[in-house]
Amino acid sequence: MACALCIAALSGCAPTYPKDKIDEAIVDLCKREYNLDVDTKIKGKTIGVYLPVDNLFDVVFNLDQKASKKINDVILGVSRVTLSTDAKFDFYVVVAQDPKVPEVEIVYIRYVHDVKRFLLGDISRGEYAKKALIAIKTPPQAERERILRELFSKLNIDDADEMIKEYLEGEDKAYGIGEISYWNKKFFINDITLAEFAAKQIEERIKFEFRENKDLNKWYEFKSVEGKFIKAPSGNRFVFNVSMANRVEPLYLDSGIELGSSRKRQLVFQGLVTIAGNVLWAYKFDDFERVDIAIPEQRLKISRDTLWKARKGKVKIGELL
Amino acid sequence: MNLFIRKIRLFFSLYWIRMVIVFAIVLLIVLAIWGLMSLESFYRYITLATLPLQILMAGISASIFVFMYMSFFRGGLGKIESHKIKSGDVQVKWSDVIGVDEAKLEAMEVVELIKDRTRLRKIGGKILRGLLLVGPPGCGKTLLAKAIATEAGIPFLPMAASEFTEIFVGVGPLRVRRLFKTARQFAYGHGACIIFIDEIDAIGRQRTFSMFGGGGETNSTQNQLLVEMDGLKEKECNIIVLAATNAVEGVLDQALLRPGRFDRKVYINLPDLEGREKLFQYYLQKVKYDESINVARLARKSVYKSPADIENIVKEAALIATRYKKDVITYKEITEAIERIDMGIKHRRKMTEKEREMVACHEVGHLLVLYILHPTDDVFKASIIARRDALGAVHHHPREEWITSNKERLLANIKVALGGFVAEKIKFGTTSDGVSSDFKSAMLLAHNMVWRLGMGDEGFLGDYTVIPENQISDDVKANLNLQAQKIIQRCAKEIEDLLIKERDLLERFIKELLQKEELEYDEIEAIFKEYGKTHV
Repeated sequence: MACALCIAALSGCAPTYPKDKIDEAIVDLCKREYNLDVDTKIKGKTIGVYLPVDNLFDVVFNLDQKASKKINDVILGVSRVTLSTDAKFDFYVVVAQDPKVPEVEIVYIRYVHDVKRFLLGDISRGEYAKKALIAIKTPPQAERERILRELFSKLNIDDADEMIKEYLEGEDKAYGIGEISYWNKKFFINDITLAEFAAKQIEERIKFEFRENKDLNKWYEFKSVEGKFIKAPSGNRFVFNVSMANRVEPLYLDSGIELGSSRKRQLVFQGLVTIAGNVLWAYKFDDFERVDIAIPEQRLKISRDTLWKARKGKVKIGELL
Repeated sequence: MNLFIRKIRLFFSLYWIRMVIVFAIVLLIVLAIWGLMSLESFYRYITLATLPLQILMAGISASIFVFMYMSFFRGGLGKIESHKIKSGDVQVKWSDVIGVDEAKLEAMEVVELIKDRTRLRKIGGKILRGLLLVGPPGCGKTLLAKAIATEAGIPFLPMAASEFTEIFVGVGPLRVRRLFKTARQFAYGHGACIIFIDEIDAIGRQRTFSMFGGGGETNSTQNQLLVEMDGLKEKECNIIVLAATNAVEGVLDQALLRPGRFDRKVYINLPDLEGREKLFQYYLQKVKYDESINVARLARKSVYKSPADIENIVKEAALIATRYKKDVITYKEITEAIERIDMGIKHRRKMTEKEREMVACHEVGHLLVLYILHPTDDVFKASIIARRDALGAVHHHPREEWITSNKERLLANIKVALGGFVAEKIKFGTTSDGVSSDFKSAMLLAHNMVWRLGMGDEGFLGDYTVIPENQISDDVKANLNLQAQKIIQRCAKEIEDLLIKERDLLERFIKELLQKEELEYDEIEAIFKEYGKTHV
């Protein structure tokens, strides 16, 4: 014990990456250890890293292996920096883009506390993977620009570039987690909150559930899900709108039991409530009054306390519908 | 300066393993700090956070390893301390050694010899190698050895001889070698060193040479000791070996006793009257006691007591005084302590009235004969309260130490032993089995008087026990046994006459003893004076 104290005292407790040099630290680390040039931007408790990668996707639109390795290197680097700094970062974002094809990008978002828990063995590798938000998309700003160009083209306006530039000029800020992007040498980023991160994560898990759950796949054709956190004076709430369509056949479970449509919906709600409850419980997030889950023709409003009970199976969903 | 360098070299030679371990630990700590410093702060915090747990786990693993190792390879955890050697901090002065003045004088001379070796060498004197302290248990042999070490001012390595013996073959000689090696190192650094081997008879008994190899390990240990002691002569090391034993000389191996090994033997005997008086004064000073206690009387009352016995008496008296909630120890507590040690603790046995009378009569028989006929002993107490196996007892002591016994004293002892039997016979016309131990001691005395001491009436002189039994004729044996029987018969007749003559006194003492159960010296004396009797 004396040795431990001695070592602790002598080795010091200073952070490796001081908060006033955090940008430099990430750029230096990526350059020094991985020979990668990156750009960074900080917004509140969120740090963003832009990684330009040539040939991000191959001809069949699969992620290139070399590019994948570079992205992983940057993720590892930014994880190390955010863990060993006195700057209190909650989230980090890595945006990888092929400079020649900026219309497609990969956005990777992580909650820093999840990284700590994973390294301390508090969560499994599988769960850790599910806690990351990964999106391959067109930058929303690019989409807006395309729409404007089409509009100006239809209107036969010649100096469209000038007008578009003027129109889109302004603060390079993202309005929500879905707008985080890199476009026209601007890094659009916002200070991510745990609520919106959780909402997005639940959204992703619902997609995963519909994809992987055989029964849900048999019954419904999944179309989309939209999740958001709404702050309101009457009470904060999460809202999830699931769009799906009934499949005609089959109407039986694997066990052969025939199911009516109400029973099927009940099972769908059961799954969605469990996902939402588990995610919010895992983050100990309780700054909300209720969770609204809507599927075609039916909506479930469930209070926070009931949600906690439901995730443990102490409340039957059928009683709530 | 030379001595300083020697001491530094001694320090390095003695503690090099410890120094290597300390250096290794420091190096590991430095490397650990270096390693931690190279980690990023998050990983450093994780490592530091888990460090106490890792240390705890390492400690538990090490403990398990040590336990397993000691259990399977070293004969149990009890053996961990077996090699422990103390040195330097023995603080026993000559003034602490009391009651063995002659032995002390010899020891002082030894100390002078150790101190003045140079002078001794100049005149060609031989250096003392070994000193054997011989004497009964509790006489202060170990204390004297410690005093020699303190007064000589040199390191002292004590070891019990039993520590050399081990179940594993070769461990004993190995330990002897290690002990002498350490002693040589100390002698090198400090000029001289004393090795003290307590209870040397454990390894010093006469060696056995058996075709089956019995006693081989003890022989090896002793051989190694002999070799090491011879080696002292060759290497001119300033080491003196002190050994203590309470075994008589014949028990120890002759090779060990010859000059050049244990050159000098110091005999430590039980303290005399003056010695006991000093011992009582010394030990009483360590406790709170009544100043009016007559220490000389205590000394007279504790004939044949060793210094350890006297220390025990004072300790026991302190316990008794505590039980009685007294602030100081008085003469009464000390007397009770002596009785408790000599006679045992009282325990009440339920006896019938007839039995009590029989026991009282038996003890009074002893008491009267002792008081009226015994030439050397005083009676201190008579009791019919059971102690140990005896239902009653008469507590007596010689007035002064008697190293020898003459015929009269031996006869008196036989008469005292027979007193109980004769008294029972006179009063009840029958006798009990309570006389068996009395008869045993009377018979043994009479037998020895005739067979060994030439004290029979028929003129048989010499010690017949040294002659093999098959070489003594049956006639001689029968005659000797007859002589012994005659002595007993004569003694019995004599005391029968005495007790018949003193029947009133006998009855009076029986009555008193039945009433009071115990009679103290003063009460006994008063009754005898009442009847006009005085001690021989």
